[in-house]
Amino acid sequence: MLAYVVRRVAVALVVMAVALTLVFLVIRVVPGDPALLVLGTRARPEVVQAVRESLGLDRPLHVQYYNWWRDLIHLDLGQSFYTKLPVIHEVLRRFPRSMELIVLSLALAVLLGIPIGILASSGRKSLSSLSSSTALMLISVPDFVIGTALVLLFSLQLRLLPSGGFVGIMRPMEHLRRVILPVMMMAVGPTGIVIRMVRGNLSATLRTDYVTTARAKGLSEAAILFKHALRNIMVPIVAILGVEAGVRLGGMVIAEAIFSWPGISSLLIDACYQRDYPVIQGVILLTAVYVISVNLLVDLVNAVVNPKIRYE
Amino acid sequence: MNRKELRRRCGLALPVTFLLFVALCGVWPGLLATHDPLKTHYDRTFELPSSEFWLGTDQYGRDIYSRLVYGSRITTMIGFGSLAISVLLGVPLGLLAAWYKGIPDMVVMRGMDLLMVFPPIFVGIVAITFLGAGLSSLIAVIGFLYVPRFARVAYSAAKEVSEESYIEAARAIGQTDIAILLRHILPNIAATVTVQAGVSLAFMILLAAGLNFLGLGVPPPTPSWGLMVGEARRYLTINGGILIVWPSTFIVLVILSINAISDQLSSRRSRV
Repeated sequence: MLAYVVRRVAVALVVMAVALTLVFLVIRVVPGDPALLVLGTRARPEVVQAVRESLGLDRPLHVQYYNWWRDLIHLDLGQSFYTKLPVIHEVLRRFPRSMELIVLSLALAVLLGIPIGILASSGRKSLSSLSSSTALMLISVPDFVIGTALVLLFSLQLRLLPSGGFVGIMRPMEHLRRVILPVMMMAVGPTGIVIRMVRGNLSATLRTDYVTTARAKGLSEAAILFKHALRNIMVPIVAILGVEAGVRLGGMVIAEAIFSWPGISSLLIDACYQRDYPVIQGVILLTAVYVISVNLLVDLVNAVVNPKIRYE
Repeated sequence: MNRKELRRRCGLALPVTFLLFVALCGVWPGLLATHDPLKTHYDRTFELPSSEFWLGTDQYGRDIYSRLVYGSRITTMIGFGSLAISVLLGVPLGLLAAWYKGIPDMVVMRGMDLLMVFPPIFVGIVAITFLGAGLSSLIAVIGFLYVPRFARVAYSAAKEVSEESYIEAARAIGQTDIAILLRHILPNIAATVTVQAGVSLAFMILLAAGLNFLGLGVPPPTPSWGLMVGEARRYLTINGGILIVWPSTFIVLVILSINAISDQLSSRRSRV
């Protein structure tokens, strides 16, 4: 196990280094001067020069690369053009808020999706087709339609929940009331995917020899389901959750926009409107690190759940 | 034809018909629209459906039905344009990597893995900011974002096919690499690529609609379904929020149709 972990972590670190280098190169090598992109083509030359200097773009490429890594290792992502504050502070302040939405919505998706998926593969024809059309529906409705519909229903018609905004965790009740709608919105798609995964894998697993053996031993259906079958479908579920945790950033962008949630993606959108270059770079770097870490975590969890993976 | 077969055919007919209708609207909107989608009637805003305005009017008194018809142009263009870019770039890359193994394999496939580390919507937002909003940059960005997915699918399918003995036979009779790739491998991975195309198409349209919704896609007043939902969000209290209903319904129906078709295709393939 230790050897597997070490190897997998090493691979992740290499991928991370290459991915971060890619960000560095895209900014500098792609045609078009970043300073001009930030300022627009009509900017005065001396202003462009000042921005180039502040970004360190006037130095030779290998010096820039060295300095870039030195700053990264010291967690220095530069200063926002707009607020003049260190980018790392803002990024780290916003990141947990986005994580909260992603983690809660995936948890909700698992809590809803696994039971529905089990019901779907229970063999009753009507249940099975009902749940598969539900899953198809959940996957097909765009995030922003769901979000808008939730605001319309819960905030404007029923007046149960606020339509958006953010309150710190220090006021837990108010915080919770504002978390509910974005989390519901973001959970819809993943729930459909979990239902499909459970259904697809469970009905195949329930036909395998070892399940037949377990039945022949006289185990109850519940014991078969929980001890044998569910354990085996955990690997694909964890894998798909990992993918979703990355893909769901898309849903998060929409959720943060609809519910005015000041997370990482609303930071990115604001930075794009303001051409706040260091902030854009900071957000992209952080999400790449995040996605690679999630992939690593998924591999490690799967190696724990399924020993076979470790020895491949 | 037994009943089961009949049901399966109907299950395909409905979504296919709807998608053809949307494509027709996209290619030739003038045929079906009843009004100019940009013409404003400031004295007739927020009207409910009537015989003159089939689905009512929006905040500027524009005909919603005609805007929906013209809006399908964006969806159709993304559907054809972005899909073409990602298939035409991704599939050859995957084929080459699978066929030549060694260094091309490593460079191409690790490169594709690397690109997938960056979430599509984030890259999309940044790319469109710097390329400038508009239909062509939307099509290009979304197309490029899906290249790795097609490269991966083509790669693993081609890898499997190239182990087959008929490929060895073709090589033995002295066919060139290009001929083998085009004549023997490509036709045999086409079905797999088609299934992936269905899945990706739905994601591409959703991504475009999401960017339009955020106001980062095609700039107003050009009608697009995502933007229509985004604009309607400001008028949720008027007429019970009916403005969001029409464009939402169209987007949902398109995605539902694409997903239903690709589900059918993939289940049919697994049954064969």
